[in-house]
Amino acid sequence: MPAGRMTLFPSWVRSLAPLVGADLRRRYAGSLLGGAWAVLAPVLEAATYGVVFGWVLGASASRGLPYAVLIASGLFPWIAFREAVEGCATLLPDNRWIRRSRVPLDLLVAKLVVTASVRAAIGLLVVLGFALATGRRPGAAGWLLPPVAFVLQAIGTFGVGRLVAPVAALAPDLRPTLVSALTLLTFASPILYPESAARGWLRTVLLCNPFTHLLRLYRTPAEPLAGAGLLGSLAVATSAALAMAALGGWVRERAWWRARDLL
Amino acid sequence: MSDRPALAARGLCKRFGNGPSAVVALDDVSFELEPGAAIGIVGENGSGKSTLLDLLLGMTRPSAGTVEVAGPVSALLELGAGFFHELSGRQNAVQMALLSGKSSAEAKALADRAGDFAELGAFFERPVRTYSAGMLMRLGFAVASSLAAPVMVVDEVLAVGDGYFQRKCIDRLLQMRSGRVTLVVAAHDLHALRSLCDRALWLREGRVAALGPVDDVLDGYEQHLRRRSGAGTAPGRSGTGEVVILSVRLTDGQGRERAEFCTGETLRVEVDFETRQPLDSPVMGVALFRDDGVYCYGPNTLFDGQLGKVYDGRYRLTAEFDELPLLGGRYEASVAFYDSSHVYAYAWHHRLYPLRVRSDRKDHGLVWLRHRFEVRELDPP
Repeated sequence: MPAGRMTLFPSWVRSLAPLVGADLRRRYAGSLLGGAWAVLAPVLEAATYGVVFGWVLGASASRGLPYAVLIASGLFPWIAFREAVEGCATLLPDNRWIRRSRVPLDLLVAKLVVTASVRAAIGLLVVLGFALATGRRPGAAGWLLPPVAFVLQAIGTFGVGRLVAPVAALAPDLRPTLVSALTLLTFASPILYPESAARGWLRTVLLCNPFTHLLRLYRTPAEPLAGAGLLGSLAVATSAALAMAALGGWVRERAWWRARDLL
Repeated sequence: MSDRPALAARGLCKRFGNGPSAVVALDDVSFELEPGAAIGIVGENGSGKSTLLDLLLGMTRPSAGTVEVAGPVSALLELGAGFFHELSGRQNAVQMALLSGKSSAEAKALADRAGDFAELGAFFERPVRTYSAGMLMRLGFAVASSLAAPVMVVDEVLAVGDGYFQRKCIDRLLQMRSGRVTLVVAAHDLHALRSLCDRALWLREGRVAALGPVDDVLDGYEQHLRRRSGAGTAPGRSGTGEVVILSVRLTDGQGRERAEFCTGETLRVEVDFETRQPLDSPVMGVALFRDDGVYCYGPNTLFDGQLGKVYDGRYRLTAEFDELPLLGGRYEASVAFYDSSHVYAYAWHHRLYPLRVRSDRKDHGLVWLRHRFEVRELDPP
């Protein structure tokens, strides 16, 4: 950055929007509905889960929350996280040119995170839309917490991505390990089932998992939190996001140069 | 003028890996460049040129030593590196400018200038994934050279472009030099380096084999290449096509075409050529090589001070060597036409015209030099 020009964000942030836009356009290039698929595909996915689990298998959601809404509010943020982290694990091997360019690694990580976050945003809209359609009144905090959760997730995912990208290049074994760990974490989070369905040790696991608290924030318009529960979940989700951001920055600073030499 | 160098590398070392399998890519490389200076980096593949450039740009960290750069550096290192393939040429130009710290308005203006220079036409608005290697080079050079950084680093990518654009790039680099931009250029085109640079650094297995005035270093490097290959550069035709060589005849002093000459005879090289457009002060030259590639002699009209005319049409160039000094052996003649800066070849027929020299002399060596021996008795000690 030129001397004398102080900004809150690094200069590469200005490059993010066109890259994300181009990435989304590329995904649906040539299709009849184009960018509409970005919305349509997850909505259809949620509807399918809703029909299979909620109607065919008769699975129950919590507090009258339709299964499709539960899925949209849980699965979409989770897929966004998983897609971004898995993308970061192959980011450097897939983009070896970065070794001889001045494109910052952080820009590529952020591009993956933001592109993947489109799904999380749709999950968010489904919950907000459901709350509005069913006349729920979660209060100001209830309306505000899902966007807060969205931002916290983006911050935390960015941190994890900064950690994973160089480390996975240095230790390729991390990639398959990461896939298995993420699959395990899928079932150790209240994504496909309501939190109330967990008993005993599984409940303890869920409470120790920051993603549980993040999902609580996402679901507040449909499943309002109150008092200590709200503050506790907000504190855990915020701490986890900030901790991952800090850890990601620390690891990236140490591992990136070694990873770059390996490319 | 500030005493501070524009670029200083001190004791640079770069080792990849650890332990016994570690590879030393660069070992104790030091040099300094004043503002406006230009250094050419030469060396065979794997000699450490790219690693050195990466270190100068801060793209990798040195294992030992330091790099100091006064101000921003623009760079063109690898084809397509740093371009986002889904974005258009214009969008990429804007992105590169933004990532270099320019404001949005500056970036847009820079993209316009880069687009004009790159001459990509409608492709400038198309995704760069549709670009050929030459088009990527055009865009990369246009953007890097438009950033107006006080130091520019270029790594062996210019060779990808066509003759016209290579010339345009070299002209731009010469302009930048006159504007006191410091240049670091790695290339295998030694002609271009001689014209662009005042200094050269020859790297050999990561170490400095020579550092100094460009002609001294490149002469040594060329000699090394010839020794290594056991011959000079391979015979062949090249050039950008502004001149067409119609015929080449080797004749004696009476104009009779011959393939064999004797030491001390007159050798004339007659070259009929045609220009495809008016050419101002082209450099015309003839060179003689021994058939194992040893470069014997290569005069041209630039060195002889015979420039300053516009050529447009068909001409005959005659190079006359009185008293041919070559000793017996097989030789080859080259004929070349260069632009007035002696950087790029319009037409170059390299070692395509064989001749044999017979000599009744028993002297050893390549040429007969006028000489005499004298023996004097020394005073007693």
